[in-house]
Amino acid sequence: MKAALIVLLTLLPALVHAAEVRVVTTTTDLAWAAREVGGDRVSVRSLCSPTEDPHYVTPTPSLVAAVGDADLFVEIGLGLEIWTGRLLDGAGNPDVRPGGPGYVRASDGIATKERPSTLSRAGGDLHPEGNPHVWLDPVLMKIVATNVAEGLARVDPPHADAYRQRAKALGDRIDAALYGEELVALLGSALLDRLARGGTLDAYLDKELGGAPLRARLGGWLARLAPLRGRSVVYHHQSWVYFADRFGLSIAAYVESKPGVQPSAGHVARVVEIAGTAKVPVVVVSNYYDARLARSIAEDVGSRLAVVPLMTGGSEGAGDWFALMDSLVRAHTGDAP
Amino acid sequence: MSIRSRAALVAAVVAFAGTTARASETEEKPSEEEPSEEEPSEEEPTEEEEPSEAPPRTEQDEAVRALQQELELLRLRLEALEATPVTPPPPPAAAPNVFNPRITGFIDLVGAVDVSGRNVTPSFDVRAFELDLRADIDPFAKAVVVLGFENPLLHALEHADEHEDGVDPDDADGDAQAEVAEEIAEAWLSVVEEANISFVALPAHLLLELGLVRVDFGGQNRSHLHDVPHIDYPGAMTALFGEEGWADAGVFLRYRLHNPKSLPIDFKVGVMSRGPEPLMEGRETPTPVLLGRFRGSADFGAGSLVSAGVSYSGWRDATDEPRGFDLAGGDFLLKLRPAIRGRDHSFYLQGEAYFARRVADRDSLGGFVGLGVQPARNVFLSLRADALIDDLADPEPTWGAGFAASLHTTEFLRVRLAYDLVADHGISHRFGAQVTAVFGSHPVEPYWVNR
Repeated sequence: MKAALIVLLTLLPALVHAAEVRVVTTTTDLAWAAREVGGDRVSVRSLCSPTEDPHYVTPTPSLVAAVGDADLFVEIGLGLEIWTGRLLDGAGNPDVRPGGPGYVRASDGIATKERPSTLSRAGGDLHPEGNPHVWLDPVLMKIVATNVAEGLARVDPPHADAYRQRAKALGDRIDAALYGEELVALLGSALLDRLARGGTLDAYLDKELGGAPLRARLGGWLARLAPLRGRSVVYHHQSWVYFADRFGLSIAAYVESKPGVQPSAGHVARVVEIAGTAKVPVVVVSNYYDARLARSIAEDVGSRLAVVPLMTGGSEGAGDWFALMDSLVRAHTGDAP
Repeated sequence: MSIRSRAALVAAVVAFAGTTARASETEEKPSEEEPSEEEPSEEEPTEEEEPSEAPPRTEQDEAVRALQQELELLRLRLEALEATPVTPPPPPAAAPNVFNPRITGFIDLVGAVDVSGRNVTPSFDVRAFELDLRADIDPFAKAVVVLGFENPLLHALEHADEHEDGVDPDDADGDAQAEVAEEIAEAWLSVVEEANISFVALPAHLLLELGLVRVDFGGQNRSHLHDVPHIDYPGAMTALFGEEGWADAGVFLRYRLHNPKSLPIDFKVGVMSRGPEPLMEGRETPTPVLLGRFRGSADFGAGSLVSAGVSYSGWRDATDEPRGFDLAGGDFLLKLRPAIRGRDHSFYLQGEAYFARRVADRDSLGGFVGLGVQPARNVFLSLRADALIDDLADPEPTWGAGFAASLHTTEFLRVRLAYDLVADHGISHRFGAQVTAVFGSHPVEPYWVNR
């Protein structure tokens, strides 16, 4: 009898929590996407804090336990979270292992950039499958949201349609924020995405409609960053290729000599020279890095230094992913919040 | 309806509307310019009434203009579609040798000098090379094999130390030197340090391990020698577990207690074949060695945690001879990691205590405390103190204290300088240097490296 009571008490919390889908994500951006798509049907926990380098999260026993209790586990993949294998192995939860219904690789379907042609540690912290910082591109974030919705649909089939609809609605909001509502209404999301992914959007916007170029109807983040289009920027770490490509920025140099490797004095001098020649308007560093080197480069070049959050919740002004993107756009343009 | 068909439809409508408009104008013109020969109707518009007919024509024109604009827009869209072919989703990324085990090599170079002239001969050599192979076996299990290759020279020197501490120091030099020479002549010692299968897809939060593992007794013993914050394991640990720590073959089952807060509370039981060498003292084990462990942990912030555990292992001889041991231990770890890199410094405090009872023999008590701090991104400083009373009936403690400074160029290469004071039948001062390199597949968890 006593044993039965203990078993019942042990299982009770699980029964109580059975009503909602427990989602565990690696990063806060994925957690945000899961909340947006899942609504009040889900409870979400991010394993990585928003000011933590997502490459180097310590797989503590608590994180193992969280994965063990999850219905859905979402990670970016692409070698960003080198620490999740240990969590999944120790979690004792076969449903959320890769191949299980509760596993989502959020980067599925994304054509990655910066796939190294030669894989060697001499190149620093390389990602064999390409750069994993996909959440910094709004177009790719829609794919992430769709992947999350499909994962939720698998583990909670009765609400599959609702998840897909919410992902679609989220995509519409992202489009409006990226292209501006007028252009979306005129051309439609599908076409804009196709142009954007194909890299032909900018040239296409020069076409005229009713005697005026389509560019005049561009709004959103693309319009705000349009003055910087073609300009060069210095970044600390190799996290920014998707953001830069989406908004037409050129990456002049990285503060790190190689990904994850502290720069030598010679490399820093080269960065200063390159940045000075390119007249970079801003040197950008994520707020989980030590900003001292980036600051000194910005001072030497006479550029602005922008210490920015890289993930949702990474600063007071980046409470959700839209706010994060807003803050990144502002950091580049120099506009006040 | 596709954009192409819609454009065609709109174009047709525009064409029709234009034709209609022109036809209407053509039909209307005679009534305006050439009065019909037919008797004008009463409703025939007069010049004064013409403005009243204008709105229908304007609406029609606007409709045509709107349709033309839509046609223009559709043409633009069509051009966009033709200019931008659909990009097929990329194929799943896969390396050519994806089914091969992930291979990691570890090179551990160690040098040491004892300024008091006891025990340690000046040296700098490769202490060990380790090869770590791991891969999923199938959806339900994964395998790990760790092969160690130990330097016979350093091994022999340790062996010589044992002789020097022996009963007859006068004869020790000759015997020890002979054995050292013999062992040096041997090839590198290859040791299977781990070879196990983990069943990772069991229900009910169970995890089953079979094979040779680093025994889950305390925290430090799970780490290989090149992974710990000092050059060697603490003296109390090596005295009870062995120079290389305690690895054993057996069956281990872990259960994580389900709880609403997802707090990690783990129970582990195991049955092993050998037991720690210093406690077994070379005896075979016709009966299995038992293991039990409980561990609880809680996070407070990213990467910061407090963890505590208790462990027990025991063995009794199946024969009537009163032989066996009980080994009990407690361990804790406090780890603080900076929330923002560059603002704070990571810190850890770790300790373990052991009590060993050898049946019909002596009882031992020992333990260690270590703390570390990260003053800069790639620099770690560690302090450690350990003590052991080998026989509680005749308490004469041996103890040691050490300091280590480690510089990481990356998480793959570490240079370490260390000093140890050892009080074991006299005081000795040891200075050591260590270079550890990791190459190949990425290590599962960088140890103490806070990037």
